[in-house]
Amino acid sequence: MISSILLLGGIGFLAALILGVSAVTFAVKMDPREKAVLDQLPGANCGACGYAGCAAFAHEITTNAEAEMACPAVNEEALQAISGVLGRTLGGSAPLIACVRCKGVPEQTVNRYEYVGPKDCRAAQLVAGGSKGCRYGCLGLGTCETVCPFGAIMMGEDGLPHVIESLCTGCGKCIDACPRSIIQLIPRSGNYYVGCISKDIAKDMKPLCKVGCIKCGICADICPFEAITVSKDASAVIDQTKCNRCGLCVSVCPTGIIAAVRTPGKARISPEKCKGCSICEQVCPVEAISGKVKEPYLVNEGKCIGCGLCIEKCPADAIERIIS
Amino acid sequence: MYYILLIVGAALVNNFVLARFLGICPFMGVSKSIDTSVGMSMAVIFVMTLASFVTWLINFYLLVPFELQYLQTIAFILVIAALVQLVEMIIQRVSPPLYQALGIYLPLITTNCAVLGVAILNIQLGYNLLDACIFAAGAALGFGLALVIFAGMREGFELNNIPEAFRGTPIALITAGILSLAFMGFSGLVK
Amino acid sequence: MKTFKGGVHPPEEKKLVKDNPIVSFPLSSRYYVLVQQHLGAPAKPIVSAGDEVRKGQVLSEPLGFVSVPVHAPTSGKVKEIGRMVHPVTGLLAPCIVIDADGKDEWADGLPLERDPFSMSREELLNAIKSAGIVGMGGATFPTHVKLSPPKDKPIDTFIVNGAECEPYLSSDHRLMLEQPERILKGTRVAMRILGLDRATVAVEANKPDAIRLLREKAPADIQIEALKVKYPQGAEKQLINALTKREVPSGGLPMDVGAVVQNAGTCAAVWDACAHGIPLIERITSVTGRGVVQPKNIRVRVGTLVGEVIEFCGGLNEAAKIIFGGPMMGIAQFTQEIPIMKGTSGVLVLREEDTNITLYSACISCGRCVEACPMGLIPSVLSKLGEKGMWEKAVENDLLDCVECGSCTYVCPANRPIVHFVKHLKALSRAASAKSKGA
Repeated sequence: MISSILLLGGIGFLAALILGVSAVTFAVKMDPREKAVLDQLPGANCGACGYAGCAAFAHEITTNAEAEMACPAVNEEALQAISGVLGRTLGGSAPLIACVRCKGVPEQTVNRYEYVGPKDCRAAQLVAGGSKGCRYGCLGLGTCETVCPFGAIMMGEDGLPHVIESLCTGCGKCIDACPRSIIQLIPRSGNYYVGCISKDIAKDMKPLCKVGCIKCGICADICPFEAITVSKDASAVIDQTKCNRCGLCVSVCPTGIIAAVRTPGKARISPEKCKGCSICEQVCPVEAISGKVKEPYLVNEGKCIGCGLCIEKCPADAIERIIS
Repeated sequence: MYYILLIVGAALVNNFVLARFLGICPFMGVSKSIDTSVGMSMAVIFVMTLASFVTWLINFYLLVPFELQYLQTIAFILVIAALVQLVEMIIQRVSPPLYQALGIYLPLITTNCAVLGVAILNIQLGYNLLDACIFAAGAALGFGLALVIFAGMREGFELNNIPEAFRGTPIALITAGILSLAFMGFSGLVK
Repeated sequence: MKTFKGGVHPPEEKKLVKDNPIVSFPLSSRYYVLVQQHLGAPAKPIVSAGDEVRKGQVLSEPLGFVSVPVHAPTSGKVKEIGRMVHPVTGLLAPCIVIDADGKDEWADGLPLERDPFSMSREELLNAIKSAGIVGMGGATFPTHVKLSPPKDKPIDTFIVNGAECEPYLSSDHRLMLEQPERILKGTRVAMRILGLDRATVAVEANKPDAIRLLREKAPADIQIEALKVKYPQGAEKQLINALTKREVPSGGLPMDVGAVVQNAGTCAAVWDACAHGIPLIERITSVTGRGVVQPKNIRVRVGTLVGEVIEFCGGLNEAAKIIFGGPMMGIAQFTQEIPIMKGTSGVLVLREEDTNITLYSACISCGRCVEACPMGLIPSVLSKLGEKGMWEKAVENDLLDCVECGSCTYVCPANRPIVHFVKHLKALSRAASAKSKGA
């Protein structure tokens, strides 16, 4: 009994002694904060921060007091946590989301030749600049889907890539992968973008794609914030810094090429609160609200574009957005 | 000659991973890349040989004289744990990237049945101190060999179009099984 | 018979045109002279719309050493400096459009008469550069550059490439049969430039009539060597290896082993340039394949639209694919509105049944491509890396030594487009180095 205790105790003591000495000799100075920061990072090693991986960026931001937050994939919570660990406030960059600026599905476009080769848009682009008639349009082979480290962009049944809003971190890997620079990053606060980047004049573009931007300019004319620029050899572009997401351009576009990141909720008037003042009817840009004075007004959901003007202007706070 | 056969026996004929099926955990966990496999093999060679040396001494100079053989398992584990801690410290100092890459699998050498297996087998097979150490070194070399070969294969079929259901561990296990079959070719090499 | 390691044996299919004598393609009404018909630095057009030009007149100025000019294929007026689809890239490229006046008059002083063997080395190289001579086997590397290797690379071997290993093509074969003197005299000029007293003309054994004739006509210092029929015997490095047993080092050039190789047609053009000052404005092209009604070997001016050429050969016959070059390394075209270039050794028109458009499947690691690769690479690994876009790993696996001969793609049982994967990886690698240089 005693001998067993002595034996094990003795071995344990000896081991502890050796380990204690080694702990001092082989001591490694590692900042524990670095581990804490690394835990908050997404760990996808996407490289959007410009460093070799999450570990490298964690090291940089911990050791360099001047380093800025360069990871686009951290959410608010993680940002707070990292700021707490490092003892300094880190400004998150405005979160971005990818949008695919081509709506040319195979049924609406023509091909110059039948492509037989690797299922990779960059490889297809090497063959005479790609098989699609429109040289600005999506080749539909899914390289963007393959390179996304978050699974946030998927090739749809329509042959075009679709961004999953909840998963996209704005890391930009798909932007690099697309050989035609069709995908663009816009601030998450933005919503509308033009789904076409064709530089062909309408006459040349029409035989190649039935849905592309015909550069008619109606959107630019109607925009109350002058956020849209267009010319005869450049598709319409929405300046996200000026865009107020009213959605008017979408309602007037003849080809329906202006797309939305998320469908804005439509307005609903609460009959109990509505005083029948008719202000909503007056401000509605698409005449989607109707009613009789002093009686509750009604929104025609089919016409409503979700611009939110009526909600803003209602003095009785009687209108709310329906979240689908 | 005897020692050469001892090593060949431990490394190839009765390979610890592929014939005795010990130490599968690090085998599966670390073999995704050849670099980490080589690092892990070095660590295991060090731990196995030194552990065999120390445990043999403890068994024959402490446990047997005091008739405390029943403490064999716990005493051996104590020694192995201490050695692994030492190796961990050394690796963290000498090569931090390797330390990061091995991650949890480094301390897992402690409970690695291959290391404990060698220590106990030394006693069971009645080896003297020198035989025990050489046997352990051979076993560790065999472990390293199997690990590096397997890592090479896994790196290779990382590029293949493996069906969704088989990706990762399933295909690794199937391949390990085939590798074991291949190593069965060594049986009968050493009587 | 001498040969190299690896390679494949695709069906020759040369019987469609190999016995057809060269026919001159008549004058066209409009020529499209692409400005970039060579590998190397661009050239600048020196004519503008409305200029009157004469046959052989220089149209562009080379910018740099590794650059050559282009010349007017006939007399006429420059319509415009426009853009035309380039057969190699498939993209729009600068093109000098000339409306022929029908008189086909040479520029002043051309053709001249001079003796290349009393010209100095510099004069000969100058004549070759100003004549716009490039490798006519298809690579279009400026000949004057190839014939002036740097002093630290001594040359002891000159090889004339008469192998023409690509299936279907017979342009060099017919040239050897009908105008062997031009080739042999041009070889002599090259020997003079390189300072050598002997040279070898290599011909594949499937052209016994050409071998016999050349042996008859060749002087003692030019040896005619018959080589085993195997694709790609006509690739530079394989040719050097078969004839001399020397191996061009990885990432190296033939001059690193003391050798220079020139296509037979290029040698003939060299003679024309040095002896008569005639620039490279026409070439022999095999218009062949079962997709064209009457396959022919034509002598055609550079800049002729291929649509006209095909019509001259009877038009299309269930055509599915039009290729500039041979079936192994040629480039498929998506339009007939495309001009013949200096390097267009063949226009191959295939029907769907002559092509393989099966969708590719996963690599089964059968190893056929490894056996076939004449450069000793592992194409299966490169194709898998290509699927994943892993260009760094590919460069480690000798990606840059691939000559894109197509042997691997030809034998792959899974129909994998391995050469396309290699080109894709090379493009990724170039993009990455451009990015890091620019960054």
